[in-house]
Amino acid sequence: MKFRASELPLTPLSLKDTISIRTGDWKYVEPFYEEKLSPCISACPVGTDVTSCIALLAKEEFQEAAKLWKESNPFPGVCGRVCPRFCERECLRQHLGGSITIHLLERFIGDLNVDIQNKSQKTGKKMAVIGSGPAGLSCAYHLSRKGYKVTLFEKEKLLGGLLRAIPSYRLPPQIVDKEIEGILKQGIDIEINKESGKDFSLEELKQQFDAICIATGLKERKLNIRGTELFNVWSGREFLKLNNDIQNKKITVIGGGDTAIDAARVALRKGSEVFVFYRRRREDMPANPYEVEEAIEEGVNIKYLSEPLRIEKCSSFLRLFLKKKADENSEFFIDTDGVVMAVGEEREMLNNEIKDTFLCGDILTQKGTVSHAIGSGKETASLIHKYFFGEETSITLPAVVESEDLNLDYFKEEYPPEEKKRDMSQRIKDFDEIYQGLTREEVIIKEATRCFGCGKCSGCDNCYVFCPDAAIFKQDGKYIIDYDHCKGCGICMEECPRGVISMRRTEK
Amino acid sequence: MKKLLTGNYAASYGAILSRAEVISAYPITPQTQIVEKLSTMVAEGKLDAEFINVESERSALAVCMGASATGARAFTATSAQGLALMHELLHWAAGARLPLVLVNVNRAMAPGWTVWCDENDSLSQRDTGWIQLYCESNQEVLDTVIQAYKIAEKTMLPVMICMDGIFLSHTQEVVDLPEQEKVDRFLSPYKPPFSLDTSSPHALGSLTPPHVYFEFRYKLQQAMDEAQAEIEKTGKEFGNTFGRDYGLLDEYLLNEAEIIIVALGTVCGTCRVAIDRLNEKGNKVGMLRIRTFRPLPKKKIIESLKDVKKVIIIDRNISYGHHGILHEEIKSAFYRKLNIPLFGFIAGLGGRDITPEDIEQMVNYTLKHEESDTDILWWGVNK
Amino acid sequence: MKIFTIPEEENMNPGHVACPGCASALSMRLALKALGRETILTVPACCWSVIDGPFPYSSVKVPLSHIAFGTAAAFASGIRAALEIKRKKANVVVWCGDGEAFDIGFQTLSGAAERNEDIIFVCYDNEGYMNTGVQRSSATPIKAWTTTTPKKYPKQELKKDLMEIFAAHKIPYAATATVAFPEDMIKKFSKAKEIRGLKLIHILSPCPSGWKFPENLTIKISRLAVETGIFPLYEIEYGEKYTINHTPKWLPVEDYLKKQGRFAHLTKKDYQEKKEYVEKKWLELKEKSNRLKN
Repeated sequence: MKFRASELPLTPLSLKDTISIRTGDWKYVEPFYEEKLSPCISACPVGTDVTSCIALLAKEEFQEAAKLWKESNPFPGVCGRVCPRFCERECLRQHLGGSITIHLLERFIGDLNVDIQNKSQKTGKKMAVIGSGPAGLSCAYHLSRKGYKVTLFEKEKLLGGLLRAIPSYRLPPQIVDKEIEGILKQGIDIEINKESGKDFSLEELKQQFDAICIATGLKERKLNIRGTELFNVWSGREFLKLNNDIQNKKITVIGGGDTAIDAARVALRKGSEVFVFYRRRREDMPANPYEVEEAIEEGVNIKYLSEPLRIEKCSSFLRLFLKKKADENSEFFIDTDGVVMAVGEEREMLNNEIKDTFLCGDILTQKGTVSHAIGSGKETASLIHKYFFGEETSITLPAVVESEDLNLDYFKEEYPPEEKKRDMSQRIKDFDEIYQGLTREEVIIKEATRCFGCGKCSGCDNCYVFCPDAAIFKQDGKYIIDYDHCKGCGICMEECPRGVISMRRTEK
Repeated sequence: MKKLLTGNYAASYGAILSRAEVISAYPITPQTQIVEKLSTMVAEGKLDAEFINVESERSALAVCMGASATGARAFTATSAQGLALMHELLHWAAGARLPLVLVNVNRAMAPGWTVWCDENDSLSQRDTGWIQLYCESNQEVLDTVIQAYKIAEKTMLPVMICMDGIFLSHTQEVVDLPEQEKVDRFLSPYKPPFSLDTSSPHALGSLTPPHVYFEFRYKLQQAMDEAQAEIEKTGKEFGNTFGRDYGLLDEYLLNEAEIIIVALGTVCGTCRVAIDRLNEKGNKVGMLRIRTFRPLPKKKIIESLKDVKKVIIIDRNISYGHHGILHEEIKSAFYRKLNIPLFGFIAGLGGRDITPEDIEQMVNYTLKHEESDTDILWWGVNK
Repeated sequence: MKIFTIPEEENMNPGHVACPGCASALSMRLALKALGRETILTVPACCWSVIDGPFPYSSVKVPLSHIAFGTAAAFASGIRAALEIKRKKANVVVWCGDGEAFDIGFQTLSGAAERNEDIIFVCYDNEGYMNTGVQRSSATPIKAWTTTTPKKYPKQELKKDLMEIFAAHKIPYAATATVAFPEDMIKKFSKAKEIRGLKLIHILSPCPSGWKFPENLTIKISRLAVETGIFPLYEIEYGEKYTINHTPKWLPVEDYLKKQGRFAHLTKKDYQEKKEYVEKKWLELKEKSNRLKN
């Protein structure tokens, strides 16, 4: 810049603003807004936008929260009760008072019974979904919401598949009914009592439909020991479907998964004395730890490191022989009125060579939880849509928020609400639900407010407030960075409570 | 209206008649009466001004600068150590082009402690960018304060008015006090070309890198050059209004003089007496009083001195390691223009009396010598 | 959901030339939001002599005058006097570093305080002469490194207690503030605006380059200074009425000290001494705040 004395003021009198000074050129790193995946969303098998839904709850927008939830998961009532809560295990709130009780919020959302409308445009494609477990229902639901004409085939007379096998003290059947009803309202045809391979063949379906989705799940694994064919020896699912009274009997359960624990607690509620034998240690049990805890509390006897050898029939009872793990000379037996073999599931051999056939749920993933099944149904629906229309472009997933990304200075230590739980002495007498959930709206709001909202901009203004360079301004409810003046100090990144701002190298 | 006034009161009345709006000063002998007079006038409501009693001369000048930068007419007065304490701000005020008026009551610098007069205090501030006007009488002090505002506000340069301590500050003389209406007609209210005003925000005194600092200093020198005409014009206008003319220089019996005494301040009054006596005896002696020391009216000085045989310079000051400051100034003005012998006397430091006899003897010495024996002619020192 | 609500009015432009992460730049931005455009700033030699911008630029939307070191309170007194005589209104504000307030301009400030000049005197205290490259001032805390108090012989003297000194001047208002508490800061400027007389606002202004911490941690450091009790937020009215604005979380002083390179040489004993000093000062403050409760 060159100045002529004749053009200068008398003394250094600065009249120009500094906007033309491009201090932005100084920087070698710069901030940018990048919403990230919260650890809960990342952990959710369904990929539900948990943080957005919770934010709506916090704003008392319950209906909106429920609608948004159901965009991805039509089963909040079910999942709020039976999901193993992968989300809560990852919740970053756990370091400051305890994880958000997402399952309680989800359950609350589910129990609102909010219907969401299907506003999709018809694609003209017809889809058959075989199996109405959570995977099949989820797939049918999402396909239908993408504009497919779906027909759901179920071999039983009730829809729901394995959802129907979950004991009512955990999942009351009316919750399942309600949510299935909501799914069917999307415009799904159903064919009940129709079993694939018996009542119809895939080839036949292929004639009528553009594509088929198989969601028939897994079959129960059989124990390869003597005596499994005996009377009063059941598989887990068989036992859970029994309607007869087995009062005052002694029931022995083999296995350590959810089905085993369900069977044990059902037997207990029917008045039996219950033993569970599991071949590994307690910490190895695939069942939900808190359910194992409750089962023990209720009086179920669990023996670990015990492997079944054979079952023998003795006059009016059965004798189950076992041995201690890794000890050939430790054979022992227990006399019992019935044996439940809940030793897991396996995949059936399938002929899926047929064109335009898709799989979803356990048959595909073998993950075994309701949430994974729902997630798989959703994913397969997207896959099918992509198959036909190539629309759903794959988006690179944003980074997951880590604990260091947050600024915990902006959050107080706050504790989750207590959920009412039926007293032990009462709950073992019937099949009524143990947990009562949260019903008071103020408690829901308070708990939702406790959510950090990891990775999502809440409009807290911190980036704007703390910019020493006045280089962040607000426009139409958004924050805009003035890169011509931002010096890249990173205060905005540091002071963002939720890890929404990241830094990147500048292009120079 | 004629009044018997000390130099200090004359200065105070100058500020009052000029309608100074903000006054700030810190007491120092022999300036104290100026502070007292003005604070009393403000307190009694006789002067519509803000008087700020500060805790140092530095703050006094800073207050005046703040006020001036905000568009007010500001006044301060000080002396010796106080002026030295202001030194940094003298540079700042000139660089910021604030039209301040400061009355300096000349007093020698300590140590040892002294309250008596010499002019080292103000002359050593010659490079700060202030206009410096030296007075010979109390009337001139009053008149110069009024003129100073006009000059300062026209040139946007601060003006320092110097009067010899004790000799003027504490000596009563008859002073003609001009009427306020006349002064008002002569000196209109200050209309700042720039000021700290929220309706037109700007920064004053911003960082100036080498690519622009230089130009601002060029402009300051330009203003100084132009100030000569302004001082002259203002002196004439003042004469037209009040009947007392002032110029850049003050000449006494220059025509036909063979020896001319060059000096500033009250010693010039003594010179007048000595010259009269000398000339009665048939000598041809005259005097050139340097009223305007900065800007130094070099052309005028040459013009005044071109026909004389010898020039005497009386310095009531010294630039240690060199010689009298005025001596140096005249010598530099002469460079390649005049080749006249200069007789540089140092006299009266720290308030020692310079009598008409001293002057006569200086002239006699000059008459007897073709050239000065030494670079400095120490007058009256007991070696 | 907003955490802090500050006025939207922006009276400082981007393009000022403060170092990245400068707390004094942010303080100016926040202060001007509270003070508004009817404000005249006086800036003596300090970082802001540079920050505001070189000729012909200025980053603030209010008149600003640079002035010589050590003269700010007097210069501002002159501005106020001129406004008085011209019957004009504006907030007359001195904006200076700790060099001016604690050291070279201390006398001038004391003079203005004694005269109870109607000005807001703001010291953004970065605890040293930062603009000249980190030399110690009387605001530098004990044991801190600076280029004139090297690691082998860090500062041996306690930080001058500016607030107490000016409480003793009985000025109508004195307050501490810092950038991590923007609403508190804005509240204090708004309050100062309404009071006639000398108002002192002492801002702790973390300096990334002088204190040796990463630029993004300015707010964090500021917050830690308060939450460890090292820099309490409080107000003093007429030298008598003390109000504590925020009770610290009492985080360990190490949390604050260990984040800054200037304290890297501190030992466990130093931390302990610091802790004891902070606790002692807090008790004194607490006692004073209980003395005059209305």
